[in-house]
Amino acid sequence: MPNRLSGLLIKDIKTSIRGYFLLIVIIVALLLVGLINFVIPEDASVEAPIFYHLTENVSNKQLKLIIKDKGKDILKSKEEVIKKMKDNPTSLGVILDEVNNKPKIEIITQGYENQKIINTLKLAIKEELYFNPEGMNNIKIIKLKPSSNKEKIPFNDKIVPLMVLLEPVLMGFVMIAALMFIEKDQGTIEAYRVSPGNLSEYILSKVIVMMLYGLLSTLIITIGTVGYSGNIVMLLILVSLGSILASNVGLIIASFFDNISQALIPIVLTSIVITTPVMLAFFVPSFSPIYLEILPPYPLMFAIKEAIFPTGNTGLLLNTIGLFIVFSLVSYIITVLAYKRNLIKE
Amino acid sequence: MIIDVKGLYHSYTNDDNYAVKDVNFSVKKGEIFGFLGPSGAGKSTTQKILTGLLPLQKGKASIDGNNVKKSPNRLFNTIGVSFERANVYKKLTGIENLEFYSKMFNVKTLNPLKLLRMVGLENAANKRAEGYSKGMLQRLVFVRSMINDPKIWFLDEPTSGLDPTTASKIKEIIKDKQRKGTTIFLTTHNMHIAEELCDNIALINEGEINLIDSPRNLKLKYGEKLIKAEYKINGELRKERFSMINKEEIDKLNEIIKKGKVETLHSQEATLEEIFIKVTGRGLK
Ligand SMILES: Nc1ncnc2c1ncn2[C@@H]1O[C@H](COP(=O)(O)OP(=O)(O)OP(=O)(O)O)[C@@H](O)[C@H]1O
Ligand SMILES: [Mg+2]
Repeated sequence: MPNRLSGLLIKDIKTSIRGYFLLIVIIVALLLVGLINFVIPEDASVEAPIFYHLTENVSNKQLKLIIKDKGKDILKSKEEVIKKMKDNPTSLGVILDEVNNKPKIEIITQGYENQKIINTLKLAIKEELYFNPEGMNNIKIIKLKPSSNKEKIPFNDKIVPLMVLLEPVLMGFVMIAALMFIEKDQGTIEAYRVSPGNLSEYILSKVIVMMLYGLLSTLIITIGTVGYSGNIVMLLILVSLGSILASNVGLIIASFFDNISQALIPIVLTSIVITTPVMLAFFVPSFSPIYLEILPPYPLMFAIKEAIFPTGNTGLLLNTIGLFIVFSLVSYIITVLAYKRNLIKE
Repeated sequence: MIIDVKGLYHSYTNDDNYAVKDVNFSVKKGEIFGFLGPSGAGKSTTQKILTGLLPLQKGKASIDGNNVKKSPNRLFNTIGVSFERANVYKKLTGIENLEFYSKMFNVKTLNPLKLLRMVGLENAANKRAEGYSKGMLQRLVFVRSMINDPKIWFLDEPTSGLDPTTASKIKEIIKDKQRKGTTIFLTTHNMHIAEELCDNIALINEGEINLIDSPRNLKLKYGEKLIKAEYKINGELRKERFSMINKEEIDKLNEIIKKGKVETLHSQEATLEEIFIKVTGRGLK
């Protein structure tokens, strides 16, 4: 059995390298490194412009001070604020009014901001009103993407966990299906089926090879961008498990088709369906529909982030690893069964 | 019986459009059993069912006492299978293909380089299979199937498309294996191969076995009863062979003799192909 698995591994590694899989993995990883280091800006925080309107009722000095240096963002009417906001989808509106000598503040939102941003804005205005000594106030720019990390990570490095997550998923999905279809095409799987080897070892070998490629690209991406930092062992464990799950899902989808050209579109579509929400959630924190929580890449992304930029949340790492061990095993069993069914049918 | 097949049917479309129909035969230990039939007769289908590559839909088949429907993986340690299609790893060299395959077995395997030498592939040993010619690929598949020194050996068209010298090398290897006790099931549409190698031949056509016998018996039964006649009809000389087991043909020959049109008459030994035509009504091509 160990002899057989090693034979399968050598075969899968050789055929995939000679089929330029390794080259593709390295080139894609290097491209991502270049993209992160040189193309994506270090600071890409989105500024939320705030449009103000001060009603005639206002006499309160503090209120007036809020808009002291706002210049062109002070508009003549509430309607104008709303009109401006419609043109600028990341903007917010603040209407300053006074009722019975008490400031009345109205915040106008676009409707899709998350609560965190609104709270931050509220807090900032309150601060201005009650805590800032007169004359010393300056309203901070409220960022739509308030960073929760204590130390500030440059934006381009912050994207590394996302890349490390997506690369093995997207590549692994397609590549393992390609490996399988090459065997089907060449008929080599039939030769294997008349040997004493069983399907589970045969699939395991391919999953392991894809995992090795996933680890390689993870190392290239992380070391090439944030350097040898964070918890590398945890990172590699997480990526391995993620890659195993991705490979198995790729294989399960592929098992429904006869050749790569039939399978390619469903596989690519699936990977887009799974990864797009996760990417959106990464770039637009306000986007967090419930179903995101059930997509495995979502928790994995947070765990990978924790491994690369540790904040001491070991529980998150261990929970995710536990969860993904279960995912990997279950998906592997389903894959083997899917191929048993698929090959018998032929 | 080392291979035993009873009432085997198979339909690729899962209806009553059968690729093999009611196939029955058995193979004795140490014998070379041939399936002789034209393209599309169902030879490969039968081999694939026996080796577990196609599901056993209907009927019974056992190999070395194991029901092929649930034959254990380890059974394949004693079985060799050669395919009509050159299903090797194109990105691996000849020797890498054999080294890989040898690791799949739990039993002692033969030396890959020695195997390549047996079929004249030693110079291509380190060349990737994608650069092999059709005949080279076929030889590679052939030697791969004997890497575990099988007790039961399935050969699907082992010599088709090979030049005569290489084909005779392959035939020698097959005969040699038989002398060492291997049981061999082979399929072919070549009557010479069937005649030269097989102890027993099943004549198969359109999924059905019409007859099973040894080449010698086939010839004794059908060959001697073949008469070649030259006769004149409307002043034109014709040559025709008449089977003496076919009543219509006997009547026709009688008619010709009665009319006194016969020029020459010879009894002739039929080729297997002619016997095939007599039995199945069609040729091997
Ligand atoms: N995968 C398949 N799907 C559908 N029909 C098939 C398939 N393989 C073979 N057949 C059909 O089954 C019948 C028997 O085919 P089979 O390959 O067993 O013939 P064969 O005797 O091996 O022929 P050949 O000498 O050409 O190899 C043919 O009619 C063929 O068209
Ligand atoms: Mg065939």
